[in-house]
Formats: sequence, C-alpha cells, structure tokens
Amino acid sequence: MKKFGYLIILIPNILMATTVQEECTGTTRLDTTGGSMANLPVLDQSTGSANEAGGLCYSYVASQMVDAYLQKHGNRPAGRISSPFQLAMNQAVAREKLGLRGGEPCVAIKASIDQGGTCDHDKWFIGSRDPRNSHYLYTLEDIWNSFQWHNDFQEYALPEYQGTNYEREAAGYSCRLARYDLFGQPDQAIFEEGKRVLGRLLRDRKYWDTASTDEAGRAKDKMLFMRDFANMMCKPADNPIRPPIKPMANATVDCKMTNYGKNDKETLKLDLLKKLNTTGLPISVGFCSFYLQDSRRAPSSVNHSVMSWEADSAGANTPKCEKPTAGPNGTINYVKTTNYHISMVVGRRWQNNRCQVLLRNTWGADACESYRAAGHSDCSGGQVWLDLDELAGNSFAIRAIE
Amino acid sequence: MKNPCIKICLSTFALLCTVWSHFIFASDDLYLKGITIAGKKAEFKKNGNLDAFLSSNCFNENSNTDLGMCQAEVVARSLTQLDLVKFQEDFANPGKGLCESKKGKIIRGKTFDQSEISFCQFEDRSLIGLNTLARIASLKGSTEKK
Repeated sequence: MKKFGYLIILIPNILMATTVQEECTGTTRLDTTGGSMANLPVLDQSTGSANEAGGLCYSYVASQMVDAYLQKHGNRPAGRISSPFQLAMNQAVAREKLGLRGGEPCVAIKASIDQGGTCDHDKWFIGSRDPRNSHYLYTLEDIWNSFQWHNDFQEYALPEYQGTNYEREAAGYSCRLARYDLFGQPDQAIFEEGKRVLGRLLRDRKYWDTASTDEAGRAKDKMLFMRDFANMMCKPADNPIRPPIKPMANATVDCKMTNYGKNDKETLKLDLLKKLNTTGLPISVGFCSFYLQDSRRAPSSVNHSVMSWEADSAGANTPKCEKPTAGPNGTINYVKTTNYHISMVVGRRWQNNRCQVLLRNTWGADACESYRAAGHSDCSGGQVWLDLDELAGNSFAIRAIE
Repeated sequence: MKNPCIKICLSTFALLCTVWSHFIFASDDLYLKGITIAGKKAEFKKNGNLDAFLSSNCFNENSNTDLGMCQAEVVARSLTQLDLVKFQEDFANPGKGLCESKKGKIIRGKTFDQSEISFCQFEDRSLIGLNTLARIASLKGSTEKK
C-alpha cells in the first residue's frame, strides 16, 4: 500500500517532466530574425538615476515587454525604445508610491497605456548640457527642487496675478529651462512647449499644495509633477519625440501577474515555457539575482539555489534571497532579504537532456563578465543560457503580456 | 599534412581555441566592434594584466596618478571580493555600487548593435565597464590587495 502511495505521488511528477520536455523541444529564440525581440537592444538599468537605478529593473523589463509586443504587431517605431523612466513614473503615480524604486512591470505597462505612451528612451540622454546630470530624470528632479519651495511664484501663479507678475517670473523660468535644455531639443518650438508645460504645471496648485511637514505627501507631489511634465512633453502630435507605446492604447493588453508558492516549482516551469511558446513574447521572471552572481556556485553545476521559503507571522511562505555581505575580519556572511529582481526569458532549448532558457537581464551588454565569474559560462551579449530547473528554484513569479 | 596525427592534433587545437575564445573573450567582441558614448566613438584598449578593457587614455605615457596608472586601473587593481559584497545591491548591476563607492560616475555607452553598456568614469576621465569591475572584484580573494 505504501508503495502504491509513492506511485500516486510520482505519477504526476513523471507526467509533468514529460510535459516540460515537450514544451522545451527544439530551440526558440525571440532575439533572432523575425522574433519579437529581434533588433531590440539589451538595456542597462545602471544608466538610470543614481539613487533609483538599483530599483528600476521592473521598468526596464516593462520597456522591453512593450516594445516586443509592438514589434510583434508591426507597431514599433523603428529604432525607438519605450522609456523605462516614464514607465517607472507612471507606475509610481498609479500606485501612490513615494519614489521610483521597486515595482511591477504590469502596473507600469497598464499605467503607461493610460497615459498615452512614453518618449523615446534615447531622448532622455541626448543633449544634456548640465555637467552634473547625465540624463533628464535628474533634470526633472532638479526642476522640482528648484520650484517646490518657490512660494513667491506660487503666489504669483494664482489666477489674479496672471498677466502681471507672472509674466516677469516666467522670464526667469525660461532661463532655467534653457539651462536644462529640455529633452535635448534645440528646436525653439520644443523650448516654447517646455515653457508652456512648466507654466501650466506651476499654476496648478495640486502639485505644490502639500504641507511642508508632510514628506510623504511631497514625495507623491514630486512623482505626479515629474510624470505629468514628461508625459505632457510627449503628447503633442507634432512633437518630434514620438510616443512609441501609444499604439498600445488602442489594443487590449492583458499583462498577467502570476505568483508561485513554495511547492510550485514544476508549475512555474511549465507556465513559463507555455507562455513563451504561445505568446512569442518575453516572459518576465521574479527571482533572487544573487543566483547570477554567487561565486560559491561551482562552474557548470546545476540546482544551486540562493532562495529559500520562510513562513511569516501569518503563516504565509515568503521567498527569501541569500545575499552576501561583509562580515567581521574580512569574512563574507550571508543574510536573507526580500529584495527581488526581475529579468526576462527570451528563448529556450533542449540540450544535454535538460531544458535551458535564455535569460536577458537589464545589466548591460557586457553582463556576461559578471555571470561567468559565477560559473554561468554560456553567455553572449548580456544574455545567458541557464538551466530551467535551476532558474525555477530561484524564482517565484511570472509576468506576461497575453 | 600527410600525418593524420598532426591533422587531428591541429583540428583539436583549433576547436579548443574556438571554445576557449568563446568563453573567455566573448566580451572582447563588444569592444572590438566599437563603443560610442554620447554619440561619439570611444577608444578602449586591453590591459593584459587585468584582462580588461580600459579607456585609451589609460595607455598614455604620462599617467595621472603617482602609481603611473590611470584611476580606472588603480581602482580595478585595488578591488577585493569584500568590496563587491559591501556595495552591490540585490537588484542592480553588480558594478554600480563598486563604481559609486570609488567616487566614479556612471556613464552610458552603446555597443555596435545599440545595446547599452555602462562605464565607471573617474576624475581623470578614465573609463572601465561596470561589469568588468564586478568581475575583477568577484574573482579576487576577500582580503587580497594587489
């Protein structure tokens, strides 16, 4: 009877294993000719704001998911990339977050469709004359910082002052805008548009009214201001900064969020493969990123895991990631965190009698240098082949446009 | 090539070289095909001791530091695994924290296929890739100083 019991337990596993193999037969790569990721560059979230770049993985992934969707449906403007910064800002406002750090790609995508698209990612970097700033996310923060306590202006900005002192003040703002060189457009029309948008936002007290003691309120104001400024700059139809994701506004886009529990590894593997096969789009995976960097991992070994499940006070199991940290006397200790990472699976293949998936991260085209140091040697151009079973052992969530 | 043994040996050697270069030098390809920063071509050369690409100003005879090296090289040589774990974040390019901890500024570059690649730029304007920094630190001992 006991043996029969084992058989009952084993049968679904055997069936499942067969199905994973079936879903993984042959080779699929979305980044090759005709695929939804063909010619979509590998991104690097490090180029984001210094303070936020550690937490923008979700918006960089969202950008690639959106652009892959557009490419598949023939709507991707050539050479343009949806802005991860704007996807992050749209998400922050939608979720009433106090900053851009950390988020959900699906929420960012949906919020950005609601906002009518984003600027081209490149436009956030080109032409900044301010040596302190490498891109315009800083610039928007600078503008906010310049104006948030400008009480005089807020007085002048009241309707009864318009046309009087406002005009004098506006000249000053024009100078500041010129220094900021908004969106790198030397074009006078764009400059005037920036001035108009800023004037409009400055006159709207909803961005400035939070009591000075309420830091959370001011953080939300800042997100709202930055989001609206960026989005309004992208809106005009004749603006050369075309909104690449606007076509999605008319599409029914279902970005599904699926989380997996302690005993769901096999389900996660199957779901990932099925979604990849049926959608032909990148599938985002939530996982513990130290799996990619952990130098304890023996080269070429599999089933190395830096993730464990721990029950919280309510009894729910939560994934915990092992993170190396500096210990006493030059030693390295490991602590458990809930700081997760998100990347994309953009291919799969059956090799050496195992299913492998191609992971595209957002750590740049040279990220293979980091992965190889941790024994992940089959890597090129920032994309690395990983054992599916091992990746699933370090993962707990999938996000997919379906 | 009459001796089949020589032929087999050469073929095996060629195959090994191909496999070896694929794994060891795949990142070289990115540099050899060209990097641009802010739309302009940026020159990099390989430093054999570090097995890493550095900006070409690191190879000038008049270096900017007392050690006779550019700051990028000085920093790269001084890194330990401990530096890496102190500053790397759970969800970011592992070289980002290293760069910032060494007073570097993160600069965006592009590869031949328009993919992004980030560099750490120091005061003397020398550059090294963020992932190169992370790799060098990762492969050193926790307290090793060179």
